[in-house]
Amino acid sequence: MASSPTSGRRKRRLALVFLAVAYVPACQAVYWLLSSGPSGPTFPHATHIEQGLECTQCHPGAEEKARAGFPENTNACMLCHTEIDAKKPPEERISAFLVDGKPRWLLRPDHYAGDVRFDHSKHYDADVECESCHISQVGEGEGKDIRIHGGKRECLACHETKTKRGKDCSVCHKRMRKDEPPPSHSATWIVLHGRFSREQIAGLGQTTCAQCHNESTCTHCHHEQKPSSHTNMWRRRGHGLAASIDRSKCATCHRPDFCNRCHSSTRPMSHRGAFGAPLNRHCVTCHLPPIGLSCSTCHRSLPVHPAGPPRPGNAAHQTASSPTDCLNCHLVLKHGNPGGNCLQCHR
Amino acid sequence: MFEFLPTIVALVLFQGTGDNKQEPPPEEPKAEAIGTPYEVTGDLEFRYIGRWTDGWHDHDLFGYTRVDIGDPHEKLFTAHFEGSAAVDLDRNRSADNPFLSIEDTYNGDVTGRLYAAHLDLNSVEGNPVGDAFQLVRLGRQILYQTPETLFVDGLLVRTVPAESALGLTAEAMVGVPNHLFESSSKGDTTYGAAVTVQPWLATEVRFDYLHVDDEYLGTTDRNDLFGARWTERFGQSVYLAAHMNMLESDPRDLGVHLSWTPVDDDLSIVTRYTALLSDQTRRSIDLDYFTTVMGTYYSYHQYELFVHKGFADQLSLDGGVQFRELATSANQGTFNHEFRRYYFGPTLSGWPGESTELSLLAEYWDASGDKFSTLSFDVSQTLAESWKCSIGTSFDLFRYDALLAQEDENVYVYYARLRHDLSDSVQLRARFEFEDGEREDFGTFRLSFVKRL
Repeated sequence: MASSPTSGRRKRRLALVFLAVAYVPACQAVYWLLSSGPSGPTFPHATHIEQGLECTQCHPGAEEKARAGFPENTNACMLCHTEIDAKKPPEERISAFLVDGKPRWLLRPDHYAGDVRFDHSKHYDADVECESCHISQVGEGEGKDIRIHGGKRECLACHETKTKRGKDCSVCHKRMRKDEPPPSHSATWIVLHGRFSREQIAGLGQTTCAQCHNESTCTHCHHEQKPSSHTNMWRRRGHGLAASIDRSKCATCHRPDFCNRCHSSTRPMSHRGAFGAPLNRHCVTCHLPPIGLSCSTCHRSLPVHPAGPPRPGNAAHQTASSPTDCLNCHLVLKHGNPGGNCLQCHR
Repeated sequence: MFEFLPTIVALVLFQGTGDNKQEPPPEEPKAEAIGTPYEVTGDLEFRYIGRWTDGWHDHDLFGYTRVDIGDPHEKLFTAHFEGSAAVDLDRNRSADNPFLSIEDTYNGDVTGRLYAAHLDLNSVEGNPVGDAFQLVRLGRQILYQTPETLFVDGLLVRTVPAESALGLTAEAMVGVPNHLFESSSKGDTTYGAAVTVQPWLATEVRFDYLHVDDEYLGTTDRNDLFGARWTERFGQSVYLAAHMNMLESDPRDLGVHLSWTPVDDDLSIVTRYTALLSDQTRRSIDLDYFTTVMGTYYSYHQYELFVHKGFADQLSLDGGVQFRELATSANQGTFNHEFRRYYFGPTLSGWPGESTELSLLAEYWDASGDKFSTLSFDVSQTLAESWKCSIGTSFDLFRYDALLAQEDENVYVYYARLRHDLSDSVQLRARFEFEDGEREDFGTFRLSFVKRL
């Protein structure tokens, strides 16, 4: 049995709703799979600090190198843990941290995402304590630990107040500069950025855009910089078609008062030459129904027409009662054939 | 219309003296920064545009400025100003002039627009109204947080987020809607209120009420809009935004935006569902869907999927699809279409030269008979530290398919751009563009001088 177009549409909508609902958990699942490392115990930082160990004993690069680094093996750990581990179950021993004979912390990514640069030694030289960035205490009692964070917010908390170049992007970014768009802002981006901006600006205040832009950036472009598509041909001919397909897109920059102002005082290109008297080509344009509503863009009500040129007074013309009678002699019409009743205008 | 021009001059002069002032020592705590000089930032741009086609010429001069006085995180009072002016140099108002634009609908040769001019009272130490208000803003302002972006001459008050009560913030606004292209604001008023709760960092819910009175062509439209918006972050990479608005007592529109953006993978997937839930006829201009020009806007459902993927900072691919279905297919007509839009665009950075950028974008719209497609190509090259040039081309095909009036418009555009940094804060930009159409050709030359304040 063939399904009706309506039921097909309903199925399509249901499928899309299902996809939308499943989207978030699916994304999260993929993200966790990609971002999580090999399973195993978590290193108890807090316990080791309480025992008096310095950060640099395990992360020797923190004083002199960009990367703090990790212990290459567990030899140093075993100085204490040979005795300690003897009293522990296997899953809590140092050996539990080993994957194929190597400490699992070596499997963690030892770099910052893409464009970001960070140098531990410079912070050490500037007397920034490790705890300034790695300070979050998590949990209570035996379960407590230190959370290794270091997001942008924590960086800016110091950089904006304690450094001379606090708002200079290039301090932490390799390619980003305060006065230069980031690499992502290509010619394509300028056309497509709207897919993010409205939702992200409207919600949760601090967004990616807000790191460099404020609201007046939007006003500047959306009122003063025409999109590259808005050429002279667009102004003359193309914009009507684009607006008729998706007028919501126009609303990104324009309001009805903009359209009203031009359309109430500017003659369309079609209204030239023979469009008006004496040939009155516009009669055909309007009276061919498929042209539809475009006249109503400016003409709010049906115009009151004077009649067309009257029929001559001789009997042959006065006795004509149908278009066929006219077309028997008038094989070629000056105004084209609108397909209607000639006598409606030529009375 | 030009009552603000003296203000522009005053602000520019003020900036001239501000150059000599020292920046506040960065080590100083913020509380002490109140006593530091006011920082003035913004842009000042002068632009000449010359256009020509078969026997016709057009020459216009534009000025634009955007000025922020004071850092709202440091200063009790700050101000923002944004406006533009245009001068028609050739004064050709002939009805046959192919360069007639909206500027030519005014009587004078000089026109100006004031987008924003407001004074802010900020929540910093020394605020005479205590800790109650986060912001008190008076003047011409643009409200982006409301369900519809609103241009208002009036007063906005926003409270400080409550420490308890789910971080509740209240907001109230009253004023006159600012319609930039209307000659009179008689009979226009607006007022509204909003409540925002942010129970935790990743969640925000906002409720809006907005009332607009708008008089146009002797008729006054009065509308009440109720809006609700929910935004949520799941971890660092998943973002959800949903909103629903009601006009009077009827549901008007609905939107759900879901994006997954794992930054480390330079990947972004965005899905969006939007719906116009009821047919829209004439409303107040601020809430109207161009119905005075295009008639009733019939309800629809729209589905979108956008994907961006970058590869090793050198290649990125953007692609997307967009479908719209009318709630009632029979409502298809000249200004209400079901459509399908597809686009795809690769961008190549750092190849073949280190500072070369190539981008291509193809777009195709199919709207039940009427179609248009575009293809654009751009190559940008930084020539030296302070010189950057771009050349590019684009192709537009507009295809009208109304019965017995089929019409194709093929337009090829070729352009060249040059940007030169005269100093750290002054930039010169030039652009030449040639439009090769089937019926008309156009040339455009644009020269801009931009001063960053």
